[in-house]
Amino acid sequence: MRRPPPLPLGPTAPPVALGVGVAVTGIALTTLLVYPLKHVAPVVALGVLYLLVVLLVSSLWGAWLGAGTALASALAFNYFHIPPTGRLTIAESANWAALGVFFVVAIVASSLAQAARSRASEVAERRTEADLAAEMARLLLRGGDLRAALATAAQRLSAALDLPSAAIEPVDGDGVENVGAEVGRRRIAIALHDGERPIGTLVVPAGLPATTLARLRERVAPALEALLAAALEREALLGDRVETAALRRSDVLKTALLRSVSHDLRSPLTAILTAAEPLAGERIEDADRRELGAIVGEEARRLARLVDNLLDLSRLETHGAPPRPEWCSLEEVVRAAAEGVGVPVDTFQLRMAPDLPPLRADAAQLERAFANLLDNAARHGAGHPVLIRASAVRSRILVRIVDRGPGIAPTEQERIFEPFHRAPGDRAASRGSGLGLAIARGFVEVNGGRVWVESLPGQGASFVVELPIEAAADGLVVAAAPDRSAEGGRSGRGEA
Amino acid sequence: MAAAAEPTVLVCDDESQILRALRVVLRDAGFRVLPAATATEALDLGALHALDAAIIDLVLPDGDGIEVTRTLRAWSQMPIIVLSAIDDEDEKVRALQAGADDYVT
Repeated sequence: MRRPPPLPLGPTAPPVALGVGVAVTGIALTTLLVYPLKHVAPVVALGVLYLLVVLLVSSLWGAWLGAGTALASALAFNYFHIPPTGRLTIAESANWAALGVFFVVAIVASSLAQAARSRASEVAERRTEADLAAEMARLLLRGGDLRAALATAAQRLSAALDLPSAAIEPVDGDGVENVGAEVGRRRIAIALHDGERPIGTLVVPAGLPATTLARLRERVAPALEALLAAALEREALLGDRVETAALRRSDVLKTALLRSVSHDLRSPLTAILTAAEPLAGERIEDADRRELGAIVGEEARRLARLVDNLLDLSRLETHGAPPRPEWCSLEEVVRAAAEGVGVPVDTFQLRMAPDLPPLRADAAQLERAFANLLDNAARHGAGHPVLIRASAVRSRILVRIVDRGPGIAPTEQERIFEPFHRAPGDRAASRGSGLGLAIARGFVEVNGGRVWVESLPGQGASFVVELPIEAAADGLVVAAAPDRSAEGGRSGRGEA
Repeated sequence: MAAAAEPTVLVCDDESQILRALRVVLRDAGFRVLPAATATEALDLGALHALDAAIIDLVLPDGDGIEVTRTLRAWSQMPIIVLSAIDDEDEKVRALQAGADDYVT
């Protein structure tokens, strides 16, 4: 983006000593050049040759050195070429006039060259600043990490203005100390404001030229203030949006919780109350008494499960369920979970690889996770047995819970893990709380694992739990079991 | 055909345990119970049998208990009781407007 200036007129002049040298050399060479030319042209007219030197010096070193060059040129021209030569006197009045015109023209030309140089220098500075502002706008307004963007913007700023270093610090709290004052002896802090509010500081090294410092304060800092204010506002709005989204989600969750809980708590209570009333009566047949007693027991257990699930979900939602890892056997965890589901024992068929390594996980949480997955599979299994297979594949254990129920539509396969979600038309779900899969996923994930479902409608469902195998503690024999199951080397969500 | 003398009650609820309990209770109270777990089953039973009363759950897997109530009311002036776990005033008003005689939570 940065183009070279069209003239060799940089924002900073070459050293003055070089200018003096160029002026002296140029005047000497011109004086020598006039000697041969005196034979072909009037000597007074040849004074214009000195203007070349004056223009060169004044355009590169400014009007003062240009004026000095003009004066030296007039003196040299007078001494060496205007009669009487060898003296600083002029015999003819016409030559006085010629020398005077030369001197005035030289001074005017010198001033014009200086002005042109200043304009070119200012244009170059403004172009640099415009490029810098565009670059900083791109960096600060694109989003992402504002502090990192400010660090990059400060680097660009120091490169563009040839500063040894620069830093831009946003204000986090109530303001900045030492704003606008010298910070120690080595740094200068320039306060950045949005109206009256301090929003940051531009820190540059002390000892910069006054012109550079003025340029920073008057032209760079205002542009930076506007950009930083916009970036901070953008960041604040983004924060608000995230917070609003979180609040909305929480609100939706609470509404769903209230509706679901009122329905799910009342349903078993209604069944219990309906069944309990005739149980207290005297004119009831034994068969009816047994049936009603069974209903009361089953619904009370269902109520207890629901309360457990609500507590589990509440702990997971508030991150109040930190796992307490211990070495445990997956088979023991799964068996305990299966026994707790409350269905006939032959509902679940375990096919565990014989040499599974121990897991380092919270056994109680995993048992709750598997109990919910098994309960879900039993309810949706259409009365068929549920197969549980487990095998070690490299550094993880894969457990598959396979039912032969109606399967799950692809659009539902992720949503079923949301709390209170029940798949449309899922009659078996009405017996569940709508929380089990959310809880299973929550407990598996806090223990470093993953859970997902693979299913085709009409072909059953396979819930897959993946758990990491950690390095064994001393004294524990852990053999990373070669995968001998039907799963072969396949892994991940792509499994069939 | 002694059973023909028993009043017939349609009980529609997707909660199988509530259905079981109501069946036992109503049977002991001298009713003949026709159980239904869905709106479709309830309307089929309502169309096939001469009902003396109906107990309808509001939330059904294939439809709205209010719609079942409205249809049954169009067919008969029998007592209809809406049974629901939802304790909501608006739901009660909707149920009563659809033709229910009472609303039990």
